[in-house]
Amino acid sequence: MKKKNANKWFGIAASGALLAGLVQVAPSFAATHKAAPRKAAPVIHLTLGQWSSSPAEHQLVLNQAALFMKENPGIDVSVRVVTGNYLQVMQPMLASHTAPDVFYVDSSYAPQLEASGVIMPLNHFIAQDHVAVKDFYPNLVKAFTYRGTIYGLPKDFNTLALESNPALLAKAGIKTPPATWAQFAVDAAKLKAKGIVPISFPIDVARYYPFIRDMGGSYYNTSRGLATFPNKNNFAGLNWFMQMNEKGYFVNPTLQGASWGGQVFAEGRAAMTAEGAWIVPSQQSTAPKMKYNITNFPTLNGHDSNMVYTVAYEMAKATKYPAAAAKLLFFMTGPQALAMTAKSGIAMPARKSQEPLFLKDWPSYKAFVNGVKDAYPYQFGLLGQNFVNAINNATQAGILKHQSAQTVLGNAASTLSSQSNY
Amino acid sequence: MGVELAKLPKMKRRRITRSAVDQALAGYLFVLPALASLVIFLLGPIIYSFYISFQHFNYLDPQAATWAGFDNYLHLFVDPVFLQALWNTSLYTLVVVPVQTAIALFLALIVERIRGKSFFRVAYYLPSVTSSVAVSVMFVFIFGQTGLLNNFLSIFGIQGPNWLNNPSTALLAVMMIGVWTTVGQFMIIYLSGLQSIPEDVYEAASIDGAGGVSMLRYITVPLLRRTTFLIVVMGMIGTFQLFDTVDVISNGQGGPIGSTMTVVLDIFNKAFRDMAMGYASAMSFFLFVVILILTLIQNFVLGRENQ
Repeated sequence: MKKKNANKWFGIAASGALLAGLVQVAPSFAATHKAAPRKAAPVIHLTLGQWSSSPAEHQLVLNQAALFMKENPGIDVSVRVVTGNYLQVMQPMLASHTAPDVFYVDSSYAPQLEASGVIMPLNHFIAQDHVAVKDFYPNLVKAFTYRGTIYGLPKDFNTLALESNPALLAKAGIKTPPATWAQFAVDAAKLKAKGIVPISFPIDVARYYPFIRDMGGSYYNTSRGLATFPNKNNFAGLNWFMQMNEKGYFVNPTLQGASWGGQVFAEGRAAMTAEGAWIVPSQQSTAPKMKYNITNFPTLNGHDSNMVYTVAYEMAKATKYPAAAAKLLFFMTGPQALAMTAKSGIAMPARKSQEPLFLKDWPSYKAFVNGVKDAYPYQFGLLGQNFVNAINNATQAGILKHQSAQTVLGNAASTLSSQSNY
Repeated sequence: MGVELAKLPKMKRRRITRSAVDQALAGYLFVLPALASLVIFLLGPIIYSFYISFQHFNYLDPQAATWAGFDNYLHLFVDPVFLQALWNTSLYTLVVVPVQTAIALFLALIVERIRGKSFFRVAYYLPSVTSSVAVSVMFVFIFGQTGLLNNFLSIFGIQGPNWLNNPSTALLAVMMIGVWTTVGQFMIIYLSGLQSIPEDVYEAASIDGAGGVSMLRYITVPLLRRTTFLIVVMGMIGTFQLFDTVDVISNGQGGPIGSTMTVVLDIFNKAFRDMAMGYASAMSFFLFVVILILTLIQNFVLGRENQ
């Protein structure tokens, strides 16, 4: 009897212990790098947080920080690279006031951080330091403005363009890549007849949202912070996108066993794809010999809506040296630092004044720069990832089950409402 | 220490053991570091997360937490994402636990008999000590549209599905990964169970004219009952906590179309992505209660022989 009890309690304790073990998620830091040796004794020590992308980007940040220290001998900056899931590592640090003073923030979750009061509002500092906010592309600044207050300044951005493989297009007798999606549909029929996948394009709101906007719809009311899925203005755009998928003109990369369009494109298994400038380094490493063209994201219904993915520098509210941190933030998003970004070609600088410099060195990026004009920042307020998951799952299921746009949007709305506020 | 105490003269021994309090204190002092870390890092968080499971608790803004009563727990039953996760997880457990237990027993029976026992032990145990992330990445290649498995199937003229991207096959693929990784570990436990069965029982049975099958049915399986109980309980706890595989193959989304969303993945997303720590804690305790109840039921069914 006693043994049985012991066993039972062992079972209970074991399940409890295992359950608790789940919480042990390991956030990790790579080594903290000193940007450069300094001469004068530093008075203030700041930390700058970035996620790990490429060694080239890390080097760029180190160089920018070194220049800042040269100009501000009283401030010492070390760059901290967060490895692993960036947001997940930053959250506990922000909550416990141990986050870096200045750090990267992606537009997709910026409102969630800004609303929770862990980010320093910048309006006061911007006025004090006379920062020319007008030099930034306005929709980028808007992505880091929450309820009228600016919380971050954008450092760079990315938009969508059309990448096409001239060799595959020629097989179907197509000489120039389509400039409109109507022309695309004509070309796609020809390509499909030759057994070529016309375009590798994911069923993801992050990519197809321009079609909704081109057709006069909107999934999100920015001023009220509400999702507006079941609205008849959205039917036309979504219907068009779903039809393109059902006809096999748009093919989801996962259907071809790939994780994104660039992979299918590099393997020559699709004539076109519509990705951001990140496809350029990827093409260089996976298909260096392949010839391809980058042209403007085609227009639909006479509109040239696009998506913009942008990253800002924001400042922790808990920073010990707000004035110095603001100085660093403004430097890192300032003309000098962004000129270095432009030279490096790693990303497109967020300041309009840097555009000529950037395009002089990187003329092939013209289509991406063109895209920013009528681009919507990839961001759905506080609804964040729940919004994206709800609409993506509903759209994927809708295309699979041949549902109507109305049903898809209704499903997305009901899923989202069950997820919010918990 | 006991022996040395016994050797001492009676008078002296009484003097040393005089103070039971002293001795207890010394004991507690020795285990204090372990006890403290257990309380601070295990018991404390569990109790605290139970407390915040009754609150609307934003991770980034703990000061603004508000009392929610049973709201978080009640919402679980109307949350379609959670319900699908619970359904997926239950289905996964229902398939994986019996299959992996049966295969583990089968392998143990074979491995016990053949030559090169230790080689097979190591070979079957390897998946269990391999990083589950590495295993998942490997299976992403195996289950790809033009992956290893579909290439193998095409030899027989079968056109394999796009395993991980098809909502109707994704969970099945995850089940196969689950069975593959855990079978070896449970085989080792069965092997040790088999070794504890006394040889004379089999001898007696063979004298009575029992064949291999009836020996297995009437001797091996019943005598392995405690081992089976342990394996089923451990297997069930493991399967209910499925996380890393689905996190890797679906990029944390639980896709395609929620077909690989599991309870723990949902907890993780709610806690660390949506920052709804209160709700995620409620989900954790719900999962704890589910596992607890299932363990007690199994204890009742499989563990009665002890009485």
